[in-house]
Amino acid sequence: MEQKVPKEKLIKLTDNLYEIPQSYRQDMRVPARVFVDDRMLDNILDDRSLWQLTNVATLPGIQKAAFAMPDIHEGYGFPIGGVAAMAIHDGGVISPGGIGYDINCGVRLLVANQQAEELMVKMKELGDALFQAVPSGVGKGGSLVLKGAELDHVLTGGAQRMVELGYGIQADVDCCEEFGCMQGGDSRAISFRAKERGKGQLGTLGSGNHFLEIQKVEEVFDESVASTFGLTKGAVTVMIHCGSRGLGHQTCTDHVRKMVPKMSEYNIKLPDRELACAPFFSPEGQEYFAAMAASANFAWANRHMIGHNVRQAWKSVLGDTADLRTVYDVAHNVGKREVHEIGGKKVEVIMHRKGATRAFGPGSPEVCELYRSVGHPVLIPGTMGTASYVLVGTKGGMHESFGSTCHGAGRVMSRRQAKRTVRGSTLREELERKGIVVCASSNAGLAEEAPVAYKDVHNVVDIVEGAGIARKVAKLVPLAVIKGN
Amino acid sequence: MFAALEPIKTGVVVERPFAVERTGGPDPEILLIDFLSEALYHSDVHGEAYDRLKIETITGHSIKGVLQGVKIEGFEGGEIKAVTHHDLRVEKKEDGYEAQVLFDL
Repeated sequence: MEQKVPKEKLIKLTDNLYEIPQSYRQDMRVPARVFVDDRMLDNILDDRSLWQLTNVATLPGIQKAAFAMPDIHEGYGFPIGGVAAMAIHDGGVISPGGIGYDINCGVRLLVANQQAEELMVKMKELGDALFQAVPSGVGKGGSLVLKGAELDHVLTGGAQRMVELGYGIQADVDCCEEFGCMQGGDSRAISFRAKERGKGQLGTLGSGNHFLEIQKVEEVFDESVASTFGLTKGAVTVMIHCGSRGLGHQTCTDHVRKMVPKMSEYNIKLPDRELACAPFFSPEGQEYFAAMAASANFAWANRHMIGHNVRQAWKSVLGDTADLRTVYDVAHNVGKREVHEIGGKKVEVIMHRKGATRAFGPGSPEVCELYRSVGHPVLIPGTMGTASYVLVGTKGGMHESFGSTCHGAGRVMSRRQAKRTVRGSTLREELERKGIVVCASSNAGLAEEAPVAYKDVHNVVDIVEGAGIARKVAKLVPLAVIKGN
Repeated sequence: MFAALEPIKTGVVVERPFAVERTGGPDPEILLIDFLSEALYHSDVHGEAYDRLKIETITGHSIKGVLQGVKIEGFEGGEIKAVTHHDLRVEKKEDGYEAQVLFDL
C-alpha cells in the first residue's frame, strides 16, 4: 500500500483544517483531520505521518475523526501529534502505542518573583546551579531512590505523594493537570522490570529532546489571561520538559508485547503491529490503563521533584526571598477517560493524546479553580534558539478537537540527520552570541535539538489559534538552556 | 545497537546471562524484539553496553545465552527508550537472517 497520502486526496475545510475523507480507504471508520495551513501542509506530506493517521482512523471505537495537530510528524505506528477518542462503552480500544513510550512526557512551567532585568547578571550562575541540581543525560540517576512500598505509593499518589514526603508544596499540585495524580493508577500493573528501570530516576531529565530552560516572557498577547496565570512581560520562567523515564518506556514495551498476540482473539486486524490495542474493558485494556496511569503519576512525581530541586537551587543563588511558583503542568503523551459531546450525545471515551496537549476551555470542571474562568494554560515548548509559548484552551476547541491542541514545534529532521547537518559547537556559539547561557553535557546532544531540526513554532501556534483550538497568551524566549546528551 | 549510542566505556568487562522464552508458535520477529528488549533492560538497569553475544541455545521461540560487554558511565549519543514493532522485518537469506528494527530514541 502507498504509505504517503497524495495531496489531491486532502480536502480543505478551512484555512487551518484539512480532511482525508473516510472514503480514502475502505478500512477507515472515520475521516482523518489535520490542523494545518497551506504552507505547512507540503512539509507534512514529505513523511508518512498522514498515512499513519489514516491507520489510526481504522481502530475500533474511534469517534468523529482521527485528529492531527500542525506539529505532526512520523512516529512508530501512530503519528506524533495525534489525537484519537475511542468510545469505551462501545468496544473502543486502548492502544499503548497511541500514548507513546514516554508515558506522560510533559511540561511544567514555574514563574519567578523577580523580573529578567534583575536576574540577567546572575544568569550564568543560575544556569550552572540548575545543571548541577537536576541530573540530565543517559544513565544519570537522581539523589532519591525509592524502593518497594515507597515507589508503589508514588505510582498511586503521583506528585501528591511527593508533597507528603516533604518535596515541593501543595500549591505545586494544585496547579497541575489531574492535580498531579491520575486516578486508577495501580502499582501492581507495573512490572518488576519497569520499577527497576525507574526506581533511581525521580528528579532526572533524561536525554533526547528533554530540557530545562530559564526563559523570559518576551511578549504578552492576552493581558487578562496572562495576569490570571501570573505572567507579565519581562517575568522570568523556568520550563521543565521530561517524562516517566525508563519506568514508562518499559511499561509501554510490556503492554504492547502483551497485546500483540491477543489481536486475533479480539478479531482486530492492524496494518502495523505497533498499533497493538485491546478493548478498553478487556483484561489487557484494564491492566494497561492501570499501568499507564501509574506511569503518568511517576512522571508527575518526576517533574514535581525536578521543580523542587530547581527551587532549592534558585534560592541557593538568589537567597531565600527568591521564589518560583508553579504556573501549570501538562501531559502531552497520555490516555484519559473523558466525556465529550459527540453527535448530540455525551460519550465516554479513552482519549489518546500522543504529542498533543489537553486544552480545556473556560468553565471546564477538570480545570483547577484558579484558572477555571479562563481555561487552563497550555505549555508549548519550542526550540532552544527560538521561543516557547503559553496558550489557553478554548470552548470551541472542545468541539473541534476534543479539547486538544499541539505540543511543540514538531520535528522535520531525525536526530541523526540533525547531527549530520549541524555542528554542535557552532550552534553553542550561535546561542551564546544571542546571549543564551548554554549548559549542556555534549555538543552532539545540542545538535540533535537544533532549531533547524524543527518546524517553525510561531507558525504552529498561529495555526492552532487560527483554527480556534487554543489562543496565544505569552511568548517565552530562552535565557539559559540546560540539557543532557 | 549500543555502539551507535557511543557508550562511555570503563575498563570493566561484564558477562550478563539471559534467557528469553515466548509461548505460542515460532515467530522470529517477536523473538528478536524480546531479545533486544532484554538487552536494553539489562543495559539500562546495570549500566552496561554489550557488543558480543554468546548463544547457548536457540529455537523458534526461545533464546538463551550470555551478553558480553563492558560497564559504562552512560551514552554520549542518547538513549534507546524502546524496541518498536514498527516496520519490523526479518528475512531469511542464503547465509543467515537479515533484520530491520526501529528503536524509539
